[in-house]
Amino acid sequence: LGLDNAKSQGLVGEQPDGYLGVVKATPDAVELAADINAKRRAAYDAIAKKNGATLEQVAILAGQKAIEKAAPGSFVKTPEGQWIKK
Amino acid sequence: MLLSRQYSPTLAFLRRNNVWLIILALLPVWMLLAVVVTAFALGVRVQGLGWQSGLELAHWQRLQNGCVQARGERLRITGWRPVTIAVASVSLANCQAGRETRPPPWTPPFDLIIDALYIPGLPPIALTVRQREQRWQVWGKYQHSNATATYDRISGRWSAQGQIQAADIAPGLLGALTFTGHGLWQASRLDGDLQAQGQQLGHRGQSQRSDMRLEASLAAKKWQLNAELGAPLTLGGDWSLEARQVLRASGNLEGVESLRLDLRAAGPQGTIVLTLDTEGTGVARGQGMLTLAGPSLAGRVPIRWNRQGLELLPASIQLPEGLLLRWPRPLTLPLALAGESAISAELQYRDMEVKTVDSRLAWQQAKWNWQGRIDLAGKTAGYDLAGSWQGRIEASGLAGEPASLTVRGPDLLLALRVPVTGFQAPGWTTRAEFNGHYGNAPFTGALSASLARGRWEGTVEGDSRLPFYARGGSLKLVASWFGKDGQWYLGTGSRATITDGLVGTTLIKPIAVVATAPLRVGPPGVFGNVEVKAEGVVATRWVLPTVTGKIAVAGQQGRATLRVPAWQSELTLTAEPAGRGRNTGAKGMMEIRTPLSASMSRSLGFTLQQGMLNGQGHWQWQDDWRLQGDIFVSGLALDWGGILARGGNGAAHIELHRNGVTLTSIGPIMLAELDVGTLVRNIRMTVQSDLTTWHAVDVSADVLGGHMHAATLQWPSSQFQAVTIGRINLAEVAALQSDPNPTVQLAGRVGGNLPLQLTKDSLALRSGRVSNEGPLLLKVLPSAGVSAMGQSNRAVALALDALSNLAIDKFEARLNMQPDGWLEAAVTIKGQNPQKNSLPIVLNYTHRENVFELLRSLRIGDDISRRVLNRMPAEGSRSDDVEDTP
Amino acid sequence: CTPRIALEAPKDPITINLNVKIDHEIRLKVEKDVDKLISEDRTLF
Repeated sequence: LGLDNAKSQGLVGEQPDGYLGVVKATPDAVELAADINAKRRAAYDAIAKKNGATLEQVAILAGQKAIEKAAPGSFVKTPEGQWIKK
Repeated sequence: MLLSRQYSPTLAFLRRNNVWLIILALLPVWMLLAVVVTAFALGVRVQGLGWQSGLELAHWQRLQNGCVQARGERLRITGWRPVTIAVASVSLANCQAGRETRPPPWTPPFDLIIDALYIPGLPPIALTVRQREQRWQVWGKYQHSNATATYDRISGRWSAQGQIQAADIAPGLLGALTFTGHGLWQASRLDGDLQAQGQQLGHRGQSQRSDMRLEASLAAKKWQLNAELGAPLTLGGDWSLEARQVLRASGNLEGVESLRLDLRAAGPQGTIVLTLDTEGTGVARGQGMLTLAGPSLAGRVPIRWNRQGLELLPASIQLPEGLLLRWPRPLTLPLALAGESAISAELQYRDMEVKTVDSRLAWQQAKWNWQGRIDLAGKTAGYDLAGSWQGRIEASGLAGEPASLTVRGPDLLLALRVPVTGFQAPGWTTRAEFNGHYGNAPFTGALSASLARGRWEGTVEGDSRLPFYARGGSLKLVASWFGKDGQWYLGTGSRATITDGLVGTTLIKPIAVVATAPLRVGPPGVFGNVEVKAEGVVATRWVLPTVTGKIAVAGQQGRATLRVPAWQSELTLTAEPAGRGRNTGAKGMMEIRTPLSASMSRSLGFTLQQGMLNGQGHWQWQDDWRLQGDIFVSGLALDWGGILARGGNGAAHIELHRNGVTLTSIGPIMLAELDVGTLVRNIRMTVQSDLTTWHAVDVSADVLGGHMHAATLQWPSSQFQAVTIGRINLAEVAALQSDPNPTVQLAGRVGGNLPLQLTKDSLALRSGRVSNEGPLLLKVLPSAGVSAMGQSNRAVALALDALSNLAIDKFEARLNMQPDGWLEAAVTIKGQNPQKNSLPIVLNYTHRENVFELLRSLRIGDDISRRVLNRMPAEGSRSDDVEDTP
Repeated sequence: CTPRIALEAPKDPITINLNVKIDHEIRLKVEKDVDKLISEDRTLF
């Protein structure tokens, strides 16, 4: 299950905290999200260490940008925690 | 004669001189005819008449007014002078017709050999009968027992004697019974006497032996009998039988008329006494009592007997294992060797009851069978039982419809279907199917059972689905079981597995529980050890690797030692019931020991690098969770991305309950180093928190060569909380600029008070006051930058020159910092320049900088672009601070 | 008589006003790195 068709199938979506969330729980979607979130966290940690920022600051910044860039029709989570279609 | 004249000469020739030939030819036919006629007269019906080396009869029967009195197979007449008859088998039946006892009629001399004579109630006997000159001799033989009898038809005298081996009666019995008897048997009279002695009677299992004496006499169609036991007769199984009085019985050919016996059987379970007596002489009626007593036997059963049989009046008797047997309606047992009786009985065991419904017991000599329906109802271990079965029971086993049983509990429904077809001796195998639900988890399965090597054993498989799994999570049980000394065990290797599945958005990988040794299972619970392997849990933001462990269960108590090999974490958990009655919950102890590592930090805002966590506490579940315990952290190192912390140690008491968590440090918690860009060392505080609001008390730390202290601090809070700083080394403050060739050199200590506002994700300072602690020194060092500024502006050059070396005796700073990190410091410095013969100087210095960005740049060693704005007022006059931003 | 020069400390202090403002251009670098990550790493975003 690739990230793109997971998103197009509406299984996962971007969240303000910079991590991927599971919209429709299937074992594959959960495993994909867990794997990608681990890799994202490592990437944010590298940027944070490089820029003296905290992991959370980088993640939140990435979250905003990922939501802005999310393809129309894919799911994004609102700050109140609701999944909506862009 | 029948033949007509016109026959051909041959017939005529025959006719004339061979009449004897014809008669001779007809002789066998005559004989046959004679036999048939006499047989017919005797009521004998024949089938399959034939001739093979002698007359042969496949089947024959002797009827007596409608009742088949005797029946035989393969009768052959194998000799004529005298007639010798050989019969394969003869079986007699006791027709209810009147008992005529006429002696046998005249018969020609003959020999009769019967291979197997079936007399009701006796095993097949090989019999030989010889009759010469009306003297009958009879030999009977069965295994090691034999008997002979003689009868002289002329005088009517008969005699009989024989010896019966006890082992021929039943395996395991010892001793022998010898009897002799004689008497007179004529058309109108039949009488005689019989004596019998039992020598060394007993049972193989017990050493005791006893003798028995029996006398019987028959006269004028009336018989009498009395028997006496020398010592108690052992019956096996440590049971022995004792006749407390001589057994007396009498009657006529119709049956028993008077009976008196008083037998007492004694064994490990208790004693059974049977007494029977007669209501009057010759009334063929009487009553008696069966009384049971002893450790596990009790009960009195009134008995009535008459010629037809025994009648046990309604009674209830206590049997071993707490069984209670009772029958509401009298049980009639015909004293016939074959018969049928409707019996109704109820068996009670603890608070379960088994009732027979239209049940019928039938027997034919030693073969018996029961038919009918059994209903079961009752409660056990808190569950309601209801079951029924319709079918047949014989000595060899059961037959009929599968039995059905339902077990109902507050949250359990179990329906069992137990086929009885396989339920036969010796294996008694059956394979029951069951289904139902526990809570709202449905289950189905099958249980096989058989009796092997003297114990009940079998397998059980079950399938269920855990309801709280959204998908997957099917439970499968594959187990062997056996019963031993009244306990039930699941065999080693029995296994329960849960397939992977989703609970919400969390994927729970397969879990397997295996019994490493037999598990005792019973109403009080499960006892034994199991090994657990859970392959892990995957959530969107965290992952729990494989968990392995052992669980020891003892009824209500349990102890689990679990390990997460990937993290080298160990968790020990114990559980036992808490509270009583309705709200029994559970409680127990918990211990955790784990190194802290990055792989545990996937869902955390910081990354654990090193450290060791130990914790122990008590948990309780009544209506909700409660946990309290202490945790100890040592050697902690972690980072928030760019901010690093090392050397964390501390202990805290934790209380976890439904409405939150309270965490209280035990003694000060310490952090050796916190690198926020500049090193903050020896941070100490005691803390109290509910994980959202933190209350720190007696907070201290070493920073910039000095120290800071706050009596109390709360985070987050909008309040401005007092923090005092002292002995701050200005040199270190200056070093924050990390300028390779610093333009300014500062020395001396400052201190003061910084009212801080600690908001959720930022820091602010309002009207902080810092002043010098003792003399300070300021030097502006000649550097390219400084001299460059000097040329461009005469005033600046003068100022810089003045500041080249300034001994400060008064330093006053007022500091404010916005939540975004922008600091504004307004510093008033008074001092004099010793090189300019103590020229008094007043320096009004303002400093604006974003501290967060400063610290972040220090964390990454980035260079800082610096803009020095300079306005030098005219000499000797006060000037307002004028400042413009670039 | 010998001339006497008395160096007296000047009575009036010199007042110097010095205003320093320090800027860090740290903020933009983080965003640049995040943008690079999101646009380039197709497997993660």
